[in-house]
Amino acid sequence: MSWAGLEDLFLSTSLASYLDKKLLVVLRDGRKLLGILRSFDQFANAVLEGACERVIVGDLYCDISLGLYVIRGENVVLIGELDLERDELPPHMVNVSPAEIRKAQKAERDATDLKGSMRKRMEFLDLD
Amino acid sequence: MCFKCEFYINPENDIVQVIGSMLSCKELVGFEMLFVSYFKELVGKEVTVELKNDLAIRSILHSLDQYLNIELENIGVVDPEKYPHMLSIRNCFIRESVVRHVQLPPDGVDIDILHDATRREARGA
Repeated sequence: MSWAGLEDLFLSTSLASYLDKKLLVVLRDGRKLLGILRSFDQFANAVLEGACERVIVGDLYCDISLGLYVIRGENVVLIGELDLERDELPPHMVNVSPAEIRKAQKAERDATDLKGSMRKRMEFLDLD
Repeated sequence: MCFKCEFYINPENDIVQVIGSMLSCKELVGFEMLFVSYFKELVGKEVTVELKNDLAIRSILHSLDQYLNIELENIGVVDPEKYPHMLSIRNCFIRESVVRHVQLPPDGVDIDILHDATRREARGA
């Protein structure tokens, strides 16, 4: 039996049906990459052509173009096929420039940092 | 070759291969295959898959493989406001390493058969 035949028999789940389609790949660090799947293997290593990262901060979003990407499989959480008939994002979300999204990202990060440091300072109160 | 459940041993490498349902079979199969066959019973049923990043997806189980990678079709995210980027995805592939747990339908699988199969595996019968 050839290797391909064995695969067909054993692997009923395969990324083969996603080849040459536009996909959204969610990574373990929360990043979301869009691109066309050109290749993959059993570890879910994947090659994305025309990849871009979709950064979402609140109601703002921005697609930052990246080019050809090879993603190591261990970082993949989910690979989703984009349904072209549906809206990609809720209609109230606003597309902004990369500079603006970076600013929004930084503001968000500063806010969470502040929250963390406030909590640290209040720890001596022993609120529990 | 076992004709009851359509699994057979590949003569080239002695690997046991499962084609159909195995839980109803009384023959010996490797332990980790038990869960693959268990989940194969659930194909076509609605399950909720919760991932390690807290994303929970309710959907029909489309297929799975020997690593327990999961393929879902017609997905619905449990908390869609928190995950706007999931809105336009209908079918998806989930890597085995990121699954926290799978919630099954109450009538999912015959517990008695699973129980028996597990004891048989544990005995090494």
